[in-house]
Amino acid sequence: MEPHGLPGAGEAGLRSTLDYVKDGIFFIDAGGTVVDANVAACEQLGRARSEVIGASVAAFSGRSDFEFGSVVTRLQSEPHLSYQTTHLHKTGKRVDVDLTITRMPTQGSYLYVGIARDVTERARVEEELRQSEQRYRSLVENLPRSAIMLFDRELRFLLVDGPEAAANGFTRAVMVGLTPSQCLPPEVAPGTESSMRAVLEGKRFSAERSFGELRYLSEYVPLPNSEGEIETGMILAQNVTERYRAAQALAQRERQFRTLTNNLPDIVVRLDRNHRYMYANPVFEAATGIPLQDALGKNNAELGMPADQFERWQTAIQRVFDLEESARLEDDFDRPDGTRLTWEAQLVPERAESGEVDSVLIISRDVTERRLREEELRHKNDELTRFTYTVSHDLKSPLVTIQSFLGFLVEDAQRGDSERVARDVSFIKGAADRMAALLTDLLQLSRAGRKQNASERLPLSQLVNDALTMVAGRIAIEKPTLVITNEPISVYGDRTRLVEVFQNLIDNAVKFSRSVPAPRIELLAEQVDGEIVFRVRDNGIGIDSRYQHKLFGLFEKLHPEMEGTGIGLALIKRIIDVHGGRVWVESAGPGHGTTVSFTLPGSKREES
Amino acid sequence: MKSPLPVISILLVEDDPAHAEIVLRNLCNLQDRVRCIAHLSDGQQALDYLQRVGKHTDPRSSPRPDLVLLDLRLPRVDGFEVLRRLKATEAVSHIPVVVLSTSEAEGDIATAYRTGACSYLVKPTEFAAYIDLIRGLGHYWSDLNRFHGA
Repeated sequence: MEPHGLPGAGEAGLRSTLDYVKDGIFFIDAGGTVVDANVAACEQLGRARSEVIGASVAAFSGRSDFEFGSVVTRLQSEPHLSYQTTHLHKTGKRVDVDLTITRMPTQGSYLYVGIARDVTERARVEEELRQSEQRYRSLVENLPRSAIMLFDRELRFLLVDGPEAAANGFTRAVMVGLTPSQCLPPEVAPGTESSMRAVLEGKRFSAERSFGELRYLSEYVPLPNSEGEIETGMILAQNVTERYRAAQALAQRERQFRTLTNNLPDIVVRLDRNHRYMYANPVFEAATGIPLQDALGKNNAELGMPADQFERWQTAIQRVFDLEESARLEDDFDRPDGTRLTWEAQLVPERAESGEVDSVLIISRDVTERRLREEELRHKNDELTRFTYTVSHDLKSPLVTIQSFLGFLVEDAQRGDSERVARDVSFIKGAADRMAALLTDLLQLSRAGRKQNASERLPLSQLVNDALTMVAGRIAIEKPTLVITNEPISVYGDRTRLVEVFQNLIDNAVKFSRSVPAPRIELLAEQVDGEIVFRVRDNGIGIDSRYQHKLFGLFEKLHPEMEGTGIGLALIKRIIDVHGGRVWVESAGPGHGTTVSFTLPGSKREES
Repeated sequence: MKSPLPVISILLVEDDPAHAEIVLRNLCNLQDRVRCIAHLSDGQQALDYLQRVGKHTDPRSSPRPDLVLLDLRLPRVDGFEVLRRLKATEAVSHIPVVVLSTSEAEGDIATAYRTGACSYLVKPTEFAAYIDLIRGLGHYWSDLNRFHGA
């Protein structure tokens, strides 16, 4: 080869230097013929240097319309040409090259130098990059309600992307190059920055944060470089406002539910389909003694409910699940202290969004007191019915007598039978007197039903003395031996009524013991099982055990020959009842005397 | 010549002497038909008499009546209990019992019939009505007995 324009001296040195250059270098004359080429140029074409030199440059172009003449023309006005093109490899493969062509004056003409850089690898990488970018874009654009941000060690945003960023006006243009405090609202910037700093310290975490009206769940991710140093951090923020609001609303409802149930006086529990506790309010713990944490997740059997009772509840609860209807259940619960409580429960089906009953709410109320009151009321009502009946019966009886004997009286008077007239009149008088006595006693009994005076603490001795004064007349006649306790005992109650109790009991005792040779009446007070029992004992005619149950009935008389209407013990019982005490009668039988005993709450021995 | 009507014997159980006398005086007017063989003033005595206990063991002095006229409200053993025990005692369960009471309570009336009373008569407060009642009672049982006897 005879190079045209290469400097003659040191030519071999220059060539060897060019052969080390990675880019292909072609020397072309003005006619488009290759006059020289380095190793890299030959390799690009897959040909030997001998095949390259002397050939037309157009033969190596990947473009069929290539004309070297246009290069020559353009270089007359431009210092160099740079463009991308392809060279044709010997195998027919096209090789992408960045080509730069300049011209060098030489011997009145020009030598053209083309420097071709093989960019096949770069093009491949660029293509890959393009595809990767494409994937990234479709990923980022389709991230559901999300934004992605990258930031550097100075907390400056390097990248802001994703539909959520655009939707809220926080675009790349607004944020890139700025720190949160420069581009975000002041209420979120400090929190965001401290999270970003944590990321730069290598922490990966999630954080939920409000952003104005919106709520974002952000994933903070450190992105270490190949040396493991964290130069960049990523924030992947997802808009969870809807979920957050739903959760807020749910929490609100749950709070309201809890506020309500925690303040109800009733037990409120919620059971799942397996009858296990999902919820229990504080009353549950107070009533059962089972801590709430222990109850959750367990069923009643596991909480110690007896088998038969558990069965009863299981059946009732399952019915609510099956029939999807409310139900009621009343049940007794034995408490550790031996008392028994009655609970009335309302079982309510609760539907999930699907419409299926997925839990049962049980609201239980302690109705023990109500049941007791009902029982009491029933008792009182029975008593009243009995009372009304007795009264109407007993008052009607003398009326029948009066009417009948008035009839007889008329007949007897007409006949002039004065003896019979006198007898008729005496029956009428007797019946009228009895009626008057009944009315007086009834009045007294009705008074006994209510306390007349305020309760007060009274010495027993005083009550007994007052009573003895009232019956002094009868005692003076019958002269029984009186034995009266001198225990220093005080009672608490209505003085007038309690004196009536002692008065009636002493009166009865005197009355029923006057037929025995040495009547003896004892007034005693004894401590029995922690309470004081008062006793009035006589050695009189006694009571057949068969009739003892009738004693407290209104106007019941075991001994019709005795004076009085038979109201005494009914009256005593009523007064003791009103005072909350008990009264009972004991007798070993006819001829063995009688003891009437009673208690009065609040009685105590005075330590003098 | 008409054969004499059978005379019905009655046991009166009544604690109120006035009420007993009213019944007895009314029965006097029916002497040819009805005769009171005993008047007892409490439930225990009535049971003792009918079951021939204690002083009533001798059938001659304590003959069984054709009819018991029973008050309900009685000392010691009340009328219902007398009725119940009477009906439970084989020897006397056949004797009809007519209750004579001041009570008009439905419960009493129902209980009396359920326990075995034949009739339940409420003591009238009107004199004339009382006379009619006892007369009707005497005639009814006397007639009933006569047909039975025939």
